[in-house]
Amino acid sequence: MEYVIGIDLGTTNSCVAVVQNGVPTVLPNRQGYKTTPSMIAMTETKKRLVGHLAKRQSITNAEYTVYAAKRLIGRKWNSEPIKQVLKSAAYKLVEGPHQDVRIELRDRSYAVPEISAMVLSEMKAIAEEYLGQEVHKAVITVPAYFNDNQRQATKDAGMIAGLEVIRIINEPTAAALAYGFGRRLDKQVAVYDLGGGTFDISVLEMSSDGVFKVISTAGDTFLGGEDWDTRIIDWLVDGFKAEHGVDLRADRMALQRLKDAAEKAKIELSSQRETEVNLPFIITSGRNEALHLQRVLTRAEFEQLTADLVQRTVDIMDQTLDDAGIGRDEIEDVVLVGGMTRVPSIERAVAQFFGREPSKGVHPDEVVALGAAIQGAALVEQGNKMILLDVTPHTLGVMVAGGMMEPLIPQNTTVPTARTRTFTTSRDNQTAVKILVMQGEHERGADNELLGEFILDGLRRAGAGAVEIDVTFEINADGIVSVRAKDLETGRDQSITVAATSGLTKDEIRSMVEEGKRFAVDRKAGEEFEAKRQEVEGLIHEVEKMFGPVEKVVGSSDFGRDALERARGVIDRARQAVSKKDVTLLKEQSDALSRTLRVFKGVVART
Amino acid sequence: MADAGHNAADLTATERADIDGMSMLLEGGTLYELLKVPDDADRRSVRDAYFRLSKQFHPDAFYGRNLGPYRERLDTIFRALTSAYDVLSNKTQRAEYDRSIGLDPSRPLVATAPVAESAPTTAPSAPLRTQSGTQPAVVVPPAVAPSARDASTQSRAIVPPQPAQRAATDPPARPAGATEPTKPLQPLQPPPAARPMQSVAPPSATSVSRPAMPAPTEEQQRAAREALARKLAGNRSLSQSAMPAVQPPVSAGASLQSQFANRTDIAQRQKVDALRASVRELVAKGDFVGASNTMQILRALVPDDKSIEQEALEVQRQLLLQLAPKNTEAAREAERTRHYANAAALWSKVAAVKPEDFEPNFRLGRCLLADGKELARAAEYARKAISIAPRRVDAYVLLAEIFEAAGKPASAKAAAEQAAKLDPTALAVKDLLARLR
Repeated sequence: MEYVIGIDLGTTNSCVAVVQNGVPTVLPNRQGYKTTPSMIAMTETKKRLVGHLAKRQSITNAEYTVYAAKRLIGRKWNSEPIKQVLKSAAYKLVEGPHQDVRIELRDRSYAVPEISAMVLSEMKAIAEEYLGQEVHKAVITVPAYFNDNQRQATKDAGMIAGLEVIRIINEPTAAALAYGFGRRLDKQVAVYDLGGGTFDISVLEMSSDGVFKVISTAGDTFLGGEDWDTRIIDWLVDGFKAEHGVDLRADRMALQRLKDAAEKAKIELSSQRETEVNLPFIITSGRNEALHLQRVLTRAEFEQLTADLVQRTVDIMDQTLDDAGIGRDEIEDVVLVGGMTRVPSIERAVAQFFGREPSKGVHPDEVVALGAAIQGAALVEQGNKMILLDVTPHTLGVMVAGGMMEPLIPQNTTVPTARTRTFTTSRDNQTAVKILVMQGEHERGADNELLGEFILDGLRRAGAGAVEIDVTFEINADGIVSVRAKDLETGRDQSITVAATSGLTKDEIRSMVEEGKRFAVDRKAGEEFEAKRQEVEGLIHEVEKMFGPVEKVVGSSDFGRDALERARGVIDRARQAVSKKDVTLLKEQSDALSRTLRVFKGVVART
Repeated sequence: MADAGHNAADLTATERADIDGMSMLLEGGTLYELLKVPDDADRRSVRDAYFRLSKQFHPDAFYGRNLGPYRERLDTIFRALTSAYDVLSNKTQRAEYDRSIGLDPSRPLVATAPVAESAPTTAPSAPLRTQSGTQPAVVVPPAVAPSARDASTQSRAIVPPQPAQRAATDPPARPAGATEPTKPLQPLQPPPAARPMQSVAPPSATSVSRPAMPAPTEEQQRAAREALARKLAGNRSLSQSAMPAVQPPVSAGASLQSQFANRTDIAQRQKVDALRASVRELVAKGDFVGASNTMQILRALVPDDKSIEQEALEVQRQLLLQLAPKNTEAAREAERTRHYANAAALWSKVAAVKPEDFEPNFRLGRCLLADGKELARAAEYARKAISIAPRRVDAYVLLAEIFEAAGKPASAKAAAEQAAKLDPTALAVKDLLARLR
């Protein structure tokens, strides 16, 4: 028989599973591990390494070892997340021909889906070895909050790896499928999924007859275990700099060792109260003397370093339940997914939020792949008694005059679905309209993801608003979006099926998006600025109030004086932003102020 | 709907029948009927019903199979089920919907047992509600067409609401929030900088109070239903298209009206053609219930078309002919249990398609007499019965009794004497004559 494998393509680790004789099973790799690092490397001899082999040599070959490619997939070169990665990645990123991201390895530059395809090929090989037959079909999971471009890019990666991706499903949904599989449960559950790079929260309703309905899903594609690691790295680097006056960030190999040590420390702190980070010969000083890094990190310190990250997940949960109109007490079980949920402070935060202990019934690293395999089997097996009613995680709409996005299909709408709305021309004698298909939750078109565009022309010359165009959005069960525009007078229509779009971005669209941005800012800037200004001034006031108490605690140390100095800098910059009336700047400073305030509160609370 | 398409679909006969039947249920009826729950079902029961139907009609249940024309039908069905569930599982929306169909939103809700697996899901085999006595189980074309939620504009036997008709007949009052102006699309070239932005605020005239409660008028109910249908469809009402403030409203209105007429003509013709094709198909299959349902929709769409009217009458006739044995049986049963008004209604259906049969005409006369409300009609059918079978004594006796009940002793006597001529020994005749003298 033909198998459909389920692949959890994770940020740090991947996992493959299959349903055999009705039993979902995770398949171990050659080394006997059930998860495989999502890492690939190119050796000096241009040999390609994947998984554990790549990880093992990552320190000595840091520049040519790619990790966390999932953070890059389906993103545009000039997007904010890519700028973040550029700061910390040891491998080299370059801009591709279509505003996409390429990774330079020894022989050539690779598109991100190509990198992911290498990992997927490995997972395919693991399954084929285990099953003793070729595998052609797969269900791959992605974070619920992935947009259409990211999903399409993931599908492309599957194709490059020689797999027919019969469905892309959301990780928390997959986890819920595995959790509920064969148990005839009838309840409403929340899935908290914190992985290496992404955070998702989903609420599902399952019935004993095998129907799984996603009610709501949300998350942050740039919040995950790596952020916790980064906090430890920062702490180590700052401490080392204070002690030796040497910045370890300048040295790529040192940075890679720090990364490994930070991850290890984080994992150890899940079971121990403290851990020692010991990295001998980490760097050579200016006087050619070998320096060693040795510090002890306690769990309490670690929790303090990362408290705001935990809080971010709590805020997202809160928002998700609110949007879905579901009370915390209506959640009958909480499923934890992803390695990060082993961190005690996270488990604690979730338990506290829902007022109940999370379910321990599933293996956080394997449950997603199992769910993918279950969905794969349910699709291809006739007479299967399980149906997944999934939702679209993002709002879909079109850009209208003024640069705003007009939503057609709201987020969390059950698919398949279709919606039609009537639009008009905005200028006199306008004979063509451009339909810009957007995805995202922002009011301003430019802040959302552009999925595609097409032109409907041949409109009758008439006054503005006289010609009407019906725009229909459709999402089928496979999650494929198609859009059609129809001139109601002539019956003329144009349509597109939204496909991978990294190549679709043209100068024309860019200038339109830019233009839309200008219009929208003109209209909205006033009120938005005013709201932010009030917030920032409130924050400045609060931070300033705390200067005295904080100085009493830390004023005696250089470290502390440094921190206070930095806080003053933050306040100054915030004041400048207010006087410049720059909203973007103001937003940044507001975030910086919030961070400062949290640190200050932490310092005072400890004494 | 080419036959080739049907043959191409990789479905069993039962699956086809289920999908076809469900498609027809989309045409009319309430959301409750669509989900097959009583209208006092609680949230959980509604959910269970939706889940059960989803398992049957979600496109994934047919994954990897070639469905031909059924692919789109399934999508449509599932969307309609989801929309129905979305409304009925949301307290506010359900209350609003209940009011729109004349239900009391504060009525108690109960858990309902799931419908048995064997319950018929196809309209053709669905039992007809003969007790109502007015129409066969023809689903009235709805102001609240669940199909209105289906935004696809493909021509098939699904009827989106008719914007032009709405525009023409809508009362000015609409529930607040149901209308939004059409938004202009981004132009290809940037508009001149000096040009003012088009207003996106809804015209204030459109925000009017909700229909009065608790007893909304029929007109208000209809308006609310339509508003809801529009909301479900996520569709901007065409009648609310943006009118630039600079244009004089009168001329703009007039030009819009002519546009509507024009555009609706095209769209409507397509729809009408599709519906007619589906009628022919259904007739060919012998499914007169389906055909009659579709005809009802057609007649609502094009109320003035004589040929459609003719066709509708013919389909109706065929349907009644097909149903005649059932109706006869039901009429006898009603008569036996002394539900004379019902019996009369049933007999009149049989009589309409079997004008040459003595029994339906005679019995109709008798039931009308027993019911006592329409004696003139009763006499008419008694006469018909006599003309079909001039030698039947009981027909004359019936006629005489009708005249007697109507307070016309002279005519009654004449009829009784006719009866006596045919059979002077009959007891009923003797009694009658004695009474009349």
